Amino acid sequence: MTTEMIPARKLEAEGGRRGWATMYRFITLLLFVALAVVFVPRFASQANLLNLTRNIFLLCLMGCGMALSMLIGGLDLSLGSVGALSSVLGATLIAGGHISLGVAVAIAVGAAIGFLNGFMISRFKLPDFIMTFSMMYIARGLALTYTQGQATYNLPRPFLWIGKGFVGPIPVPVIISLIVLLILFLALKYTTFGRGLYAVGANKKAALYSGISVPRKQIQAYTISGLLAAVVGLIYVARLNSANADLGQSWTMDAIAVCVIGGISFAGGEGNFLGLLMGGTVIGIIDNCINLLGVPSRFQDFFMGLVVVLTVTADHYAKKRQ
Amino acid sequence: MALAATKPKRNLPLFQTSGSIIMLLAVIAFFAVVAPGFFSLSNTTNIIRQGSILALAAFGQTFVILIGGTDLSIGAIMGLSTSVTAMLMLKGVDPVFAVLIALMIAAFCGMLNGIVVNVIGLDSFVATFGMWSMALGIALVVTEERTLYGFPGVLRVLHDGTVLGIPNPLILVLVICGILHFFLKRTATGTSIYAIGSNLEAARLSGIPVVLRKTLIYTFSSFMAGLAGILFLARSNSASAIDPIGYEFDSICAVVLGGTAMSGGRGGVKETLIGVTLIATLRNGMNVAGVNTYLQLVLLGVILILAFVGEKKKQSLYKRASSRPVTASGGTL
Repeated sequence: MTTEMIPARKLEAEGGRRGWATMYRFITLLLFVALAVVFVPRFASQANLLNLTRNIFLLCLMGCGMALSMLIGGLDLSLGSVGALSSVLGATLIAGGHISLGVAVAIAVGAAIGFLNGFMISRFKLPDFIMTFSMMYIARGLALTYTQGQATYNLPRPFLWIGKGFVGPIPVPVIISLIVLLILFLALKYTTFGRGLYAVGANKKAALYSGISVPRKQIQAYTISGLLAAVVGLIYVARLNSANADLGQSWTMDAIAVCVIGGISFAGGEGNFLGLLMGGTVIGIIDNCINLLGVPSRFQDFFMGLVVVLTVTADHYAKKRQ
Repeated sequence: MALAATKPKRNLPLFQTSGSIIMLLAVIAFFAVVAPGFFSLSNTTNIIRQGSILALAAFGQTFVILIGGTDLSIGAIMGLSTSVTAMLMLKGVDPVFAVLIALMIAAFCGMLNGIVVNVIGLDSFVATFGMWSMALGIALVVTEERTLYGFPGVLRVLHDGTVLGIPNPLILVLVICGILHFFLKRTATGTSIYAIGSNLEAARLSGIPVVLRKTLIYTFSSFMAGLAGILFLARSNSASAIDPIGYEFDSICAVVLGGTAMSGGRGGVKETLIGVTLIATLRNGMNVAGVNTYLQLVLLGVILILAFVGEKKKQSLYKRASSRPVTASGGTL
């Protein structure tokens, strides 16, 4: 312990904190992998690792939308419901043979709901979590009303490729997720759009005075978040080969967990999209091990809640110490 | 609070309360015309019985909102207390003990919420959403993801019974409302809750044990959610972890529609009772009128958003009335 403390103290305050946070996360990750490989039977089998990889990248994709809303100091609780609503709407068209139209409609619906979230939050100054919490119920209610509890099965084969297919040895969802992560990572780091999001999250007033339109940034973040929720919804539908209004009940919590472990701060303006990969990996491994160990599947809820609260608490103390 | 004598502030709560009463009357009138069978004695008692569960949960939520927080864990805590009580009764534990244990577990969850929010300092919705997830997980494990039934029906008297023709749940709610109202308005501890909600720093500096009080309020909120869960069990006579999920949403709706400010420090249980009546009447009216449950979620979501927009508008009106225009336009960000 002490030998590790000295170099950390030598670094500048900011860099030291980042270094510590990353180190702590990386150690946690290694610990999880080691424990899983040793104690969980069949964890290291090829079939499981492929499945795990797919899940990890889907979790990262979920985390992307949530991370954008968290970056501007908000929170998108409607993620799962928006994914469900947009994908059941799209699935009807897709099942009718209009694949590209269905995908477009799903994505448009997701983006539109995200836009509405952002618009209401910025225009009427509603608390983020109240707006998106209400939207969570509105979107779920609409999805259930639309499907009346019926699932859409038998989607056309080319569409299923999105969820089940491979390019070479790599699953398609992994590729989609990597592309999205890369684009967002670069956009946040090197464009005015991305720097603006960080600025808004760090200090709304300062951002306003330096000429950034805060409402526009909020709308952009929530719109992309809604759009990505629709993408995740479509991938899941393609993977399960059925579209159901119950889809994505646990996504919101999972996405929050991915972001929190990935180092995206609840306070806004802090975090790196590559951190999401780490968050996704940790959560993916936890989920996977719970399944393999035969723990009741819904016990995952318990773990996700615990992981979120513990990680945020640890971060909080790490910051306080600085 | 000291400035309560200035004109705009004194008019505001009056307007809010009468606003929600007018809304309530409008809703009643609407459904009385639209839905035949709505305006009958049996349906009225039904509304009361449905609403009493929400009322208990919303009272706890009111306290948390009064200090400027939110409790998103209520539905899951209700599910937990319902499941634990049912499971214990099935194992042959005396119903009274089963209820006490469930309430203690609920209060314990609330205490954890309170500690995480106030001692450690996380945002209330992060902490309570985490608790939502944890409590739901435990409840699902307790019930093994099934619906439990077939336990002794002793608790049913809580929900079905009457005293002198008045339904028991109504008596329970009114008594609790009375006690809480008295506590909030007439005791020093009660008024200190308003002080904490309107200005935390001032409250702390004037010697109020802020952290302790706030932690106890979260404990109380979960305790009330536990109690609501027991009443829920008494109503359905079966227990599942998932059924009460969503009460956190209804309870926030009820508190906000009643006129308690989300920013804290303004409102009370009396207002919440009106809000609860409004929500219960709306839900029941929509049921009687044949609106499906799913669409009800949508409508409630829209209503909650509108209520918030209304509250924000009122706040900015109030700000404009009470301060110089320069600060009002510059300070709204």
